[in-house]
Amino acid sequence: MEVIKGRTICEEKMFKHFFMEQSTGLRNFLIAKFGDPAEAEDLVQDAFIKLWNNCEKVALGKAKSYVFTVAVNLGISLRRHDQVKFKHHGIIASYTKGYTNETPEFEMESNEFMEKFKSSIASLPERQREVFLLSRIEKKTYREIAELSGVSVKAIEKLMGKALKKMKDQLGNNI
Amino acid sequence: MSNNYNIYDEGFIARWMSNELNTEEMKAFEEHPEYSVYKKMKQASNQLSFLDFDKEKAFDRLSVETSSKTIELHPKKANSIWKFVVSGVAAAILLLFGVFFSSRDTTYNIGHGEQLAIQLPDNSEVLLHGASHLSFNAKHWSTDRDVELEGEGYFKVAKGKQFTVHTDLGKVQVLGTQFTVNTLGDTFIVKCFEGKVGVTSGDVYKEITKGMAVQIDEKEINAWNFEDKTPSWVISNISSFRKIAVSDVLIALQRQYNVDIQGLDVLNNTSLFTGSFPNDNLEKALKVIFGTMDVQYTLDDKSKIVILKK
Repeated sequence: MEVIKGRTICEEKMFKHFFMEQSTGLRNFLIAKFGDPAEAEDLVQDAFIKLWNNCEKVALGKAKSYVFTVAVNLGISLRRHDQVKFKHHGIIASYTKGYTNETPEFEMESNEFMEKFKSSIASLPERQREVFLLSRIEKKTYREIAELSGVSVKAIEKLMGKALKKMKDQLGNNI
Repeated sequence: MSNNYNIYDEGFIARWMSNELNTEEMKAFEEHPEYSVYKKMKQASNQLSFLDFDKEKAFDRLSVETSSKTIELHPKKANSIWKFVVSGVAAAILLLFGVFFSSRDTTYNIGHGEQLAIQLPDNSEVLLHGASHLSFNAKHWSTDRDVELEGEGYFKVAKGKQFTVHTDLGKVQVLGTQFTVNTLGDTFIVKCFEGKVGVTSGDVYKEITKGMAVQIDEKEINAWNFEDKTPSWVISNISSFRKIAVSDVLIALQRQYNVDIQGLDVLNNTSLFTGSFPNDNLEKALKVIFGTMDVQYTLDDKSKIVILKK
């Protein structure tokens, strides 16, 4: 094979830079998709190792979609063997400054609500949960999520709407 | 209360969630009885985050796995300093034979085809490769910076550190760099990947810099240039050679596979081998080596005996 001259991901500096830029987003995406933080981090490792081993063949502009595709495919192949339940310790509730000024009672109540809220996320069907987490935590637009999963924006909005309604029904009685 | 917006139209609440509704739609929704629940959900979701992710740690772990899939880190390692063959860390590969020093208080041995990462007292690390032995004097490192290696190893020298690797064919002095040293049979091979090293063998002294290699045997000294950034066995688990005696290639093969090769007399000892073989596929490795030499062979997979035929 011909050696590609110029900037490639084979340069250690480029590779590290790319890892630092993309690894967190990929890892969070994998938690949203598969629901297991430890597994998500393993998949990140595997995907970047594969990128490194194939660095000559992957153009710089394609590297991001390469690691995402590799990680998702590996995750799916793992899933064929055993069904993993969504582990909601992968998402945590962190309070904003505004909340720390509130009365302790409010915060207590809020903590309680957050726990219920998190379990309502965990009980969502896979696709709905993925869309919800990517949108609400990763702050991705519906268009970006649609591009990631290769479906229309309308389909994503539908999934999100279903997710919200389901969670509302679960939480509604508790409010 | 009436509004024209059906919040059960899937997508409506989704668009509200991401602030995509217009003022009129917003106003209508705010009057809906279920609005308060959704508002609370929106607020709650703003307080969520994923568990923290330590990128630096993940990258260090990645570096270790990239250096070798089967690597084991020495238990006393602090932060892994394997940064690929990278950046500020100088590295060296050493492949040495039959050197024995006394007063070595720290010794490592690994089996055929195995790899092991070891930390030196100055935080430099060594990746041992295939049926190798390494020892050094940990107690008196400050005065005795000699490392002894049999077999093959990849040295990553911590920045600013110096030591000398002794072999019975010569010695290699670390001058702050990345390089490989290989002693196969009577052949001494040093390749410099970064910086500069001084190579001494008999009365020959040669300094080589990035992209230069020198191969010294009883008869001659050969020097050439190469383009690899990293040794092939580190990156892709392949052993590569240039114009090397056939007997030396077989030594390298045995280090990887622990095979017994019989019928050596059919080999033409004056012929030289240029090429590479995989370190994880014996059949393919044999095919490459003996195929290029036009030698027939049979492999008994169980007893690991290779018999050569005319």
